[in-house]
Amino acid sequence: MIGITTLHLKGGENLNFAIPINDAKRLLRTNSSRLQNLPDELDTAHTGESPSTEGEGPRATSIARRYYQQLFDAGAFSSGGKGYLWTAPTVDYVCFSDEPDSDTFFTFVAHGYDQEYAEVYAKWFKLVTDSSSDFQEVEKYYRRMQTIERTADYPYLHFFSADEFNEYTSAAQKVWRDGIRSLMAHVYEKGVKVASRMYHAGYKFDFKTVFEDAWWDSHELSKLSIEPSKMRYVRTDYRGGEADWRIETSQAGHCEKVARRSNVAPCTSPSGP
Amino acid sequence: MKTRFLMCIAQLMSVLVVASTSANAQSAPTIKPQGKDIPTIAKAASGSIVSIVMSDKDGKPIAQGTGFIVSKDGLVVTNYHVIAEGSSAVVKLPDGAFYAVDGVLAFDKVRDVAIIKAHGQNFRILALGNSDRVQVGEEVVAIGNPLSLESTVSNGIVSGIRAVKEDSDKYLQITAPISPGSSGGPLFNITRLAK
Repeated sequence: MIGITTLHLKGGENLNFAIPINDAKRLLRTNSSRLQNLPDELDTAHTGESPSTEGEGPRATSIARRYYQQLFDAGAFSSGGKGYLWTAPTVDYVCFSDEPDSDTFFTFVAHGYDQEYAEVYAKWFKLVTDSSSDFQEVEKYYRRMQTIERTADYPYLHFFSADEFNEYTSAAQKVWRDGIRSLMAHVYEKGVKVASRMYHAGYKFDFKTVFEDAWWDSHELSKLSIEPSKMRYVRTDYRGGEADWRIETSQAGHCEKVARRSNVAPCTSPSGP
Repeated sequence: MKTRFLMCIAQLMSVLVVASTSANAQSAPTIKPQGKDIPTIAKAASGSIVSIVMSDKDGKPIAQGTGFIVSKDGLVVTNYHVIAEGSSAVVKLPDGAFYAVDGVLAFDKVRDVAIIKAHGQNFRILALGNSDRVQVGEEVVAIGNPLSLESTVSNGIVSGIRAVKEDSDKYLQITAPISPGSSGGPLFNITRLAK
């Protein structure tokens, strides 16, 4: 026996999936011999702590935003640290729900591959690391890279550089070349990261794009639609498995670019008497 | 209609199932359906493939999936999503016997694998193969309980082994049909073992 049947692609022709049995063997080897209760996600989903209440209006967004700001200030979304004037964000966007009582937000970064971008990047990188390069030439390539990303099917995408792309196996490279996009989202509740979700778009089977209209997380049955001009999002989680799914939750909100974090104090002096 | 991924979470049951903990399994042979044809595999394995029925706090069945027994004392491998919802569970053997589920021994939510413990002893078990040796093109047989149709056998081939990144976990893409309720069922290969 080699696997555990688990998924099928609705609308696909015999596109079904199984988990390799070695995953179960690994779990059998590592189990603690201590029985736990069933997860009962249906019940535990409703037992979360209520948010603190103060003030009126769009307070919930501000609760989520406060949690985000605390983490941001602590450097949770930045690389680099002391010794650098600026730090680079490790995520691109943060998204807040419209729900007035929400204390949840999520961050994301999306990736894809574009051959032209990779080629331009390689030329740009070669120039930028050469001290004798013409600045205007460097800038020309840089602007071209920006244009390629902005005019992509998802304008908030990051395209891989050639070096990043070459880290993937040839099989994975083929998938990227075929147009798959990935979006890694980290979900935070009350300032604590509670889930990481990998969404995909543009996935193709037999030359047919099957995730054409939104980002899909096949594992969590979650769909994420992002309207690129206003960066409005709708995230829909489903449950079920019958002929039709049932929507469990649907949440809308907006996303905004994660700022760079400054490591320097403002160059102003406090006003005195 | 747009195509969408569907996880085969077990369907709602319309029949109330009453748990029984009678452990009346007979012998405890290890079923190793190697080198056999599909009918032989199906016949040999069916004694170890169970229906898992999840119920809510009120005892009302809310979901059903498939699992298979891997130890004589009742460890059952299934998908995590099969057992994710519901406060109690029973497993049902094809011969009609029911066993209460004592709890979860381990699970991996990301990989969608769970091991639950059925209350009982001396179960018939399935031997686990080595999925690292699976090759694209191998013929496979899936056995499950789609739509509560117990011990449904279907065959196909391994049409791909999917992994997005080099070190990421893999999935076996298969052509053997899967329907709601068959989640968590075993997948056997034929070609390699039939040498």
